[in-house]
Amino acid sequence: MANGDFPEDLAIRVRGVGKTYRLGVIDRGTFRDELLYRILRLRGRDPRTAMGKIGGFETAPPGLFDALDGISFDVRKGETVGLVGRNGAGKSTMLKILARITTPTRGDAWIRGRVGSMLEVGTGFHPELTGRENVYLNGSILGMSKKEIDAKFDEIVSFSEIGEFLDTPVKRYSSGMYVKLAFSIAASLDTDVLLLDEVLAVGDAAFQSKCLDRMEEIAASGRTILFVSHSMENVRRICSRCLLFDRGRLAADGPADDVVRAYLAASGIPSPGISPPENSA
Amino acid sequence: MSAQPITRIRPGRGWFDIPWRDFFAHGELLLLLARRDVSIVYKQTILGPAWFLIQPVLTALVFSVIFGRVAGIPTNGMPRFLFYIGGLLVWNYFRGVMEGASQSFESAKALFSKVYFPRMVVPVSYAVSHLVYLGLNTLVFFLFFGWQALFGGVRLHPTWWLLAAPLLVAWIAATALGFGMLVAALTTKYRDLRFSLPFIMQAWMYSSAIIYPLDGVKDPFFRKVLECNPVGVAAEAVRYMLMGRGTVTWRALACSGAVAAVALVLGLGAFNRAQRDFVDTI
Repeated sequence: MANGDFPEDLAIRVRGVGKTYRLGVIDRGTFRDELLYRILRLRGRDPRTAMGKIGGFETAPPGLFDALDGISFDVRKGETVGLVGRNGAGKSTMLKILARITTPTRGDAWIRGRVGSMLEVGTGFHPELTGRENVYLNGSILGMSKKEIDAKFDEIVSFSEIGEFLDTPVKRYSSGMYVKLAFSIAASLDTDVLLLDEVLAVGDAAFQSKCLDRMEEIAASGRTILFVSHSMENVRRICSRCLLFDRGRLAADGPADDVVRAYLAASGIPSPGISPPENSA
Repeated sequence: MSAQPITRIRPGRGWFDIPWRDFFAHGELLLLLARRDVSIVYKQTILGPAWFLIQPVLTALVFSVIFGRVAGIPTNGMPRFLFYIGGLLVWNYFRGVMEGASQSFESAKALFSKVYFPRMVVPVSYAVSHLVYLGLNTLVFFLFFGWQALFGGVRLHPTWWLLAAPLLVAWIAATALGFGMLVAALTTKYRDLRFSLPFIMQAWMYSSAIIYPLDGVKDPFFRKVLECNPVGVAAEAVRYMLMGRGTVTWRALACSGAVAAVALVLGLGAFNRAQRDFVDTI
C-alpha cells in the first residue's frame, strides 16, 4: 500500500503532523464557535485562519491551541532517538499520536511493526488486576497469543524485581513497582518500535541504570526506540540522535550531543562536562 | 525477513472509518477482558458466584408478589414465577450489556489513555461476559421449569423455535451495544446522561413486556409503540420459545428490528467518532 513512500529501512515516517486542541471553555460563545468551526470544516476551509475573519473574531479565534504543527521526520530501523524540549513543547503529544492514543489534526505518519509504549509514568494497566494478569493483558493488547506471552513471562518477572507481589492487584503497588513492571513488559514483549515517555523518572538509581542497559541492548538488537526525557545525561547516553521540540515545532534534528547542547544553551543552562562523551555514565 | 505490518496514522475521517480488521485481530484481548469482567464483579463478596443464581430468583420472587399478587397483572396463562424469570432472561442480559457498554470510556480510562487497541473491544467484551450470567439465568429457568413440569398444573413445553435462541441473543446484544455505545459516546461530551441513565433504564424496563404480556396491552396505539421496542419483542419471543406462549408478529419483528439496526449503526458511528479524541477531553 503505502510502501512507495515508506522505504523498507525506515521504522517511522512523520509528515506534516499537527495537533490542534480546542480548549473547552464553557460559556455562551462555545456553541456558536463549535457550530462555526464545523461549518468551516465542512466547507473545507481551515477554521484556524477563517474563524479569525468571520463573526467578530478580531485575531486568532479563542480556544484553539496548536500543540504540534508541521512536524516531519524519519526514523531508521534500530535507531534510538531522543525527544527533548521544555514542558508543553509537544514531545509527549508526538508520542501519543504515534502510540495512537490520540489522533493528529493534520498530517500523516507510518510505523512499521508492532508498537509498544510506556507513556507518562505508567502503561495500560488495569488497577484491579494482578501483576500477572496485567502482563497477559498487555501482551494481548499488542495482539500476542497466550503462548507467545508465556514464553516471555519469566523474563518479564525477573527483570521487574516485583517478586512476591506478582499476584497482588497493581492498585496496591508503589509507584516504583508499577514503573518497574511496566518497563519490563514494554521492554520484553515482541515490539519493533518502543515509545518511552519519562520512564526513568520514578525508579530507583539501580533500576534506572538497569533500564538504560536494557535500552542499549534493545537498540543493539535492531529495535527502534523513541525516548522522551528531561535527563540530558540519559538522553546522551542511549540516543545517537535527538529531536528538539519547541512550542509545537521541530526546532532541531541532529546528533544527540549537538542538539542537547543547543537545548541547554537556549534554556540558559551552561553544559559543563557535556562535551567529552566519556563522562556520560 | 518477515513482513512487518505497517500502521498508518492520520486524522480521523468520518464516523464510519472503523478499524474492523484490527478489531477482529484482538479476539484474545476481548476474551481476556470478558473473563476479567466476570471474575471482578463478585470479588470481596461472601457468596461469590452464587449471586448469579440468587439474583434472578429473588427478582422474580419480588415481581411475583408485587406485580402478580398485589397488582394482579395477568401472565397469559403462564405460572407467574416462570413468566417473570423468562422475561428477566432478556432484561438482565440487555441491561448488563447496555450498562457495561455505556460505561466503556469510564471503566477503561486507565487503558485508553496509555495504550492503543481498537476501543470497540471494550463494549463488545460486555456482550460476551454477560453471556455467562445469561447462561446461569437460563439454568435457573430450567430448574423451575422442570419442577413446574413435574408438580405444577399447567402443561407447558418448549417449541422448535428454541433452536433460534442464538439469533435472539445476537438480537439483544446488537440492541444493547447500539444503545450502549451511543450513550457512551454522548457521555464523553454531556455528563448529564450518566445521571439520567438509571431513569431511562427503569422506564425502558416498564415498556418492555417484562412484567406483563404484550397481549395484555389493549390500547392499539401503545401496542404499536411497544411493538417497536426490540427488548420487549425479544421478551415475548423468548417466552414463546421456552413455553409456547407469547405474541410475536411480523410487524413487531420488522419495526423493532429496524429500531435495533438503526441504534447499532448510530452507536457504532458515534462511538468510533468519540473514541478518537476521548483522551483529549478527560
